[in-house]
Amino acid sequence: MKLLQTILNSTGEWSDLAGDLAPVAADLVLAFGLRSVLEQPGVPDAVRARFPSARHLLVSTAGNFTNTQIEDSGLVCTALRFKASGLRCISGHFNPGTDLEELCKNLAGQLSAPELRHVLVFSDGNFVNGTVLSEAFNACLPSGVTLSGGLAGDGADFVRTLVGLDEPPVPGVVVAVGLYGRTLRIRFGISDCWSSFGPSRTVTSSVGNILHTLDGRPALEIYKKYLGPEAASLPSAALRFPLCVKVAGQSKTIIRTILSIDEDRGSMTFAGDIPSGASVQFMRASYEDLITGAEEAACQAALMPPHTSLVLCVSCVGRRIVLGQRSEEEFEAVRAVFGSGSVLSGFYSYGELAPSGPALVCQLHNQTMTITSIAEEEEVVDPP
Amino acid sequence: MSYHPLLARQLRRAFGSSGDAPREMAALFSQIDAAYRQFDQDRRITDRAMELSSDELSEANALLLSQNRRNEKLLDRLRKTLSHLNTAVPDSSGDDLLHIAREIEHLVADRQATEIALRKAKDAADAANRAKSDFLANMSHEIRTPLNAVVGMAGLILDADLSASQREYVEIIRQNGDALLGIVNDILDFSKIEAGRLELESVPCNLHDIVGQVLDLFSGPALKAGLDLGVFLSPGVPPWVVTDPVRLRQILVNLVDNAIKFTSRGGVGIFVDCRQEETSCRLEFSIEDTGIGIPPERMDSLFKAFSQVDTSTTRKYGGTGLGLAITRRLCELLGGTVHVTSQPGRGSSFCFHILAETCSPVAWAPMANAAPLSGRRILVADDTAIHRRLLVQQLGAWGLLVDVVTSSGEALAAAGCLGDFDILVLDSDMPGMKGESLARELQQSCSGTLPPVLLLGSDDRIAVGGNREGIVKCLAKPVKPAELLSALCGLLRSPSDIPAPAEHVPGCADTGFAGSHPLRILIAEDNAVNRKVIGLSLSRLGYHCTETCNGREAVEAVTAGDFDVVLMDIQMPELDGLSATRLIRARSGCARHPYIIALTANVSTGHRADAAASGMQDFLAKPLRPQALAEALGLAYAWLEKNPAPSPGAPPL
Repeated sequence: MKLLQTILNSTGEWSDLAGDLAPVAADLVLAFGLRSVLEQPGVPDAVRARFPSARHLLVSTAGNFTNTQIEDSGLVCTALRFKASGLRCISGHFNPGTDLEELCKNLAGQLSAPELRHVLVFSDGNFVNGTVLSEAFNACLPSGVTLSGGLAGDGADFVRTLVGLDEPPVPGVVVAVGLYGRTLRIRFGISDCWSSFGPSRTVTSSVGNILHTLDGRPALEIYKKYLGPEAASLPSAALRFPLCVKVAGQSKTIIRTILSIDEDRGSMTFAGDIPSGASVQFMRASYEDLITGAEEAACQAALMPPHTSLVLCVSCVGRRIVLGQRSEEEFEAVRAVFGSGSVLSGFYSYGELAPSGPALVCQLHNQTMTITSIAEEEEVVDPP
Repeated sequence: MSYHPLLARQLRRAFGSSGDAPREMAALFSQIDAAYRQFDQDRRITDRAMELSSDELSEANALLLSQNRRNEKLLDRLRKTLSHLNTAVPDSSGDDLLHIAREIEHLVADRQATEIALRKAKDAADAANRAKSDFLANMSHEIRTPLNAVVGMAGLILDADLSASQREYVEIIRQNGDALLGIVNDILDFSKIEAGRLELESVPCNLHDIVGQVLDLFSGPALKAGLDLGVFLSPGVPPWVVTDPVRLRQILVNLVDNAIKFTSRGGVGIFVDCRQEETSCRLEFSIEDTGIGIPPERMDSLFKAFSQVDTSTTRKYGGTGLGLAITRRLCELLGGTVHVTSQPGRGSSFCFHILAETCSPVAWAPMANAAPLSGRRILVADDTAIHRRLLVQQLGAWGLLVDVVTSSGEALAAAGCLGDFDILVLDSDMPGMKGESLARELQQSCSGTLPPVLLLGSDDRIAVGGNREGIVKCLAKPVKPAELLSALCGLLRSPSDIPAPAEHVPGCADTGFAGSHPLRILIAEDNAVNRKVIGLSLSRLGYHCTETCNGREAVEAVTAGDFDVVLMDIQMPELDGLSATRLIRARSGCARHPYIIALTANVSTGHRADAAASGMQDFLAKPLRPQALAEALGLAYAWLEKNPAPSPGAPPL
């Protein structure tokens, strides 16, 4: 497996950051950038020109990781070529009114093949309900096939998110990349390190991922009370207080973070479902907790022995908002775990997709650092 | 833009009072400034969130604590209640909620079991009560039949030639028989009411007649007891109403009977008033007496069954104690209530009302018009307060201007001004001077012409209207309002107005009756004594009759013989009266010959309908009254005259 990380800056120039893959040989390019960068005319063309034979996957973000730092200004492109493994890229377009479940099942069906090992999914982060998406993929993918990825971001603006496969990125697109072959080595790490505080509240009214009331009171009203003067910068301010959601009868809790608000209805849209009747609690995190958590995720995902690997980090925009300038520390903690053979890439997202639990079932996560390490065995020993 | 206060101070320390940092370091200081500001913002947000959540948690905690305290109190009460209820619950284990819950479950189960047991007991009691009522009804019936015979026979013996002592003995037998019959009737009524089987009629009836009949019934007893008995009918009381006349009469009879029974001096008054309500009229009756009264502590139990004022009362005055209970239930059945007010030693007042509909007259002689009396002056001399009040109310209601004197002495003292009056009404029973003598005295004392005098007497001798000296008219007490009115009008119109003699009614011992109403009569009656009574009654009307002992014999007799009238008992062995009638009708092929009269003690509407449906033409209630028998035979004769029997060979109708 060969990698090349390079950045297209605002002047249209490329600066290579890591790896030694020849651009013309690249099979796949993961291009992450702020919406303002992606919407600049000529950016998709520039990528195609640099990587003429690769599939180009463009995703808008809330900040990008290069191999060494957080980089907001340019388009960070990480190109790869497998030695023995295969990959297949497909996309679907989701409009309001489309059946997201059908769309995802269709994508999963197209990717399914005996050698399929893992699927990377990058999706619109505004319209698309990540819970529905992950459950639809889970339902269709053969057992043993893992899934990770993330929902596109839009800085702290929450206006629109863009995804594109070989085409200029637009809202509403879901792209899935299937990775095939027994030579693949993939590991995952996930960590949140948020802690709940305050009283537990009951979801008294919600539809899917739209939350209306908690304990009979409009959810937005409670958030505004907690945020005080900061309420002016809703919805991003609400990312400081994600919800710890516990559904009766399920042992695991899940963190849900806000995507948008509706002032008229007093409702809030979250990145995943908030089931009616569930009990929820506000969460908060300290710098130290978040940074330690990121390091833990990295340790889980680290491949032993060290291989040349692509380390795809998808972290939540909420963590960046809380950490501010100290976001770099989170990244550095991750970087320190992986050796020089690894190339780190990734972005701040509106929702992380990663497998969790012993069965490695993919779920939509919020407020986490998720890491997918992908490497290829140099030699494959066929079983006798 | 100014830096964060801390950074600004740090810069002033480092670079002098202006705090101007080297230009090339501006970007660095901007980042430091942003970091400071973010730190402050984080702290503010965190502090606020912590404070708010702390408040919310405290609130929740306080709520929990108060709920806990309440729960503890509840638990404590539960524990106490449980240990009260069940001494087996030890106090020490009271903390165990599960234990308490189990105890409560046990208690609830116990209670349910108790409820089921109680319900079963109640069902059993109800069934027993029904059985008792049935038994009473049957027993009463069984007792009444022979009793009727005893009373009837005694009545017949009294008509025979008897020595004085024999007459006295028979009289005692009849009186006691009557009393016993009354008791049995009470019990029968009561058991019927209790069993919910009393059928009420709703027919047009004349209220004035009913009250008049009650007066007639008690005129003898009142006279014997030396009591004044009278009635006041408010002008608003409609003469015709729709109700059950038998039951209304029964209520009045019960109450008047009681009043007379418990009054030794003075009198008894019946006051009748009426209030129109939306769809009906409310007839209000008040029976007042000047008797012994009722002690307050006994009032409550007065209308309960089998309760008299005290047991000594029963011994002294007799009675079953059912009369007032029956009265109350009858009032309720007629849509009203009954209550009593009383002053011991002064008298009692039983007031009841019923709801009835007014109706147009069925057939009646209208009461004389009271208009000629309006504005006339009348002097009433009566010593009995209650009777005086009745008269004053009644006369006043007709528009007369009434003055009263309460003794013959007062009447004589007023002799000088008697000329001012249009009419004098004198009670003939005032102490000191009898009515007739008083009238004579007044005639002599009066300077001018004495106005017409109406003498109200309880003496049989003057019960017939007379035209003696000074006395223009006599009326026997108790005086019915209609009689009083017509007498007063007559006095004011013409002094010689004498009522037409009463129409001749068939006598009880008129052997000529059979001559004028020749009939061939068959008796079907299983009870030998009753058969005898009927036979004797008929023979005293001049009839010879044929007797049969059951329905089957009756059918055979009718088939074989040629009878005009059959007196058919309803309840008979082998073949009852209804079946026998149906058979007779079927066999003879004639729906109406012979003329069949039902005889039964059971005179309810339902039985009348059954009898009519079986083909009977008339209905006579037992005990058989000779007069009713004669009337019924008169009707039968009249009907047979108009509807002659078809000749034997003629086709059936």
